[in-house]
Amino acid sequence: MARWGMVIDLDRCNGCGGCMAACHKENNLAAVGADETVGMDRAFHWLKILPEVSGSGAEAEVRHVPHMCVQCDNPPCIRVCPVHATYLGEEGIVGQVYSRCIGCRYCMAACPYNAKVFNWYEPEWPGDLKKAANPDVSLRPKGVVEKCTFCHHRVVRAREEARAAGRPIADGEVTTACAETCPTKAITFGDLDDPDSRVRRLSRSSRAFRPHADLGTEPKVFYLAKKE
Amino acid sequence: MKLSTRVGLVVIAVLVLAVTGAAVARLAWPSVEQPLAFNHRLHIVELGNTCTDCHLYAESGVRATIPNVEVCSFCHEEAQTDSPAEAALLEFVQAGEPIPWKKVYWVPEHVYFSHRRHTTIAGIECAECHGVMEEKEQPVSRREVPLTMEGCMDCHDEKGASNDCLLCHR
Repeated sequence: MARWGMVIDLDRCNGCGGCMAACHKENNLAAVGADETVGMDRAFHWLKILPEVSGSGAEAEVRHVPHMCVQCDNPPCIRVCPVHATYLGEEGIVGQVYSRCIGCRYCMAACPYNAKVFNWYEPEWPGDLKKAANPDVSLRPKGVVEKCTFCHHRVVRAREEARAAGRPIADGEVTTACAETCPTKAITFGDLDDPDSRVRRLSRSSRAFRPHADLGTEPKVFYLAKKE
Repeated sequence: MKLSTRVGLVVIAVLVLAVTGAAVARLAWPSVEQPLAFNHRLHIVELGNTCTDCHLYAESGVRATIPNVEVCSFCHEEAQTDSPAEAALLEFVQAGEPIPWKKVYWVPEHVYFSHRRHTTIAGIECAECHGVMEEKEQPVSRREVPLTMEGCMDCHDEKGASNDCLLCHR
């Protein structure tokens, strides 16, 4: 059984934002207006790019850190959920069952990565936008928490195709929307338990680190630090 | 208490349970009346059609379709028999009006169900959920299996399929 993970090379990321756009489109994320994003800090992204500025003036250096749910192996969010709406799946993906979520937002408070977002309003789909939604992903209603699923539907689709052809899923066959879109190939997705996978090799690189690894959450998203 | 009384009580209890169970089942999945007297047996056994000849996308898509006049009129552009059911169909075909079939099988909006995943990939026969249509001379009026989460999960367990929540609730 696979254990899905991701490696993000910070040396390669130039902060273009393509991954964010791809994630929005792939996962049917509703757009919220400027009054909410700017005024109320309710920006709605499963994946966001955090700027990290070091130095100042002419010496200033900006780094870009793509940030999403890190799919902990020991997720703090599932322990606080009173209705078991969020859970750790058998392949290591932390799932969110929208039909079960009561919107208490305990999981958001518990998440040290600030990876979850809440639907404050009924999402609006003007015109024919609803018809352009990805049919593999549901449209979430108002009042539920949502998060990155490592494009779980793509994993399912790849497994279906592999099973229909009677073979295992090959390394690189399944990838997330963000990784697929990234023009600099900064994001790698794959099976951490597959000894020959690219993601496993990169995750064992000397440059690899995991965000807040000291918390014991065992995240499955690795970053590759900048080369000095 | 005498043994015969005990046996009697048990029998009564079982009967009461069975009757209420049947009543509840009827309430939960009431039968519907379809607008046309479609004969599945005739179309499958005698005319040699397969399910997917009319129910398009049952093997290739997420949703299977309920055939309407566009599909029926492939064969029924003009009367082929003197059956009153066909005459009723031809009225719809000639008027170009859709047949108001009543949907019997559906899952709630928060459930993702893919026909392709079950038919083509898992190799499950249509009859497992929809009944043996070769024997049915009347149109479908009620569900052959209860479409409940328990029913889905029991079948997944039986067949060794995953019961990961995200597979159906995405």
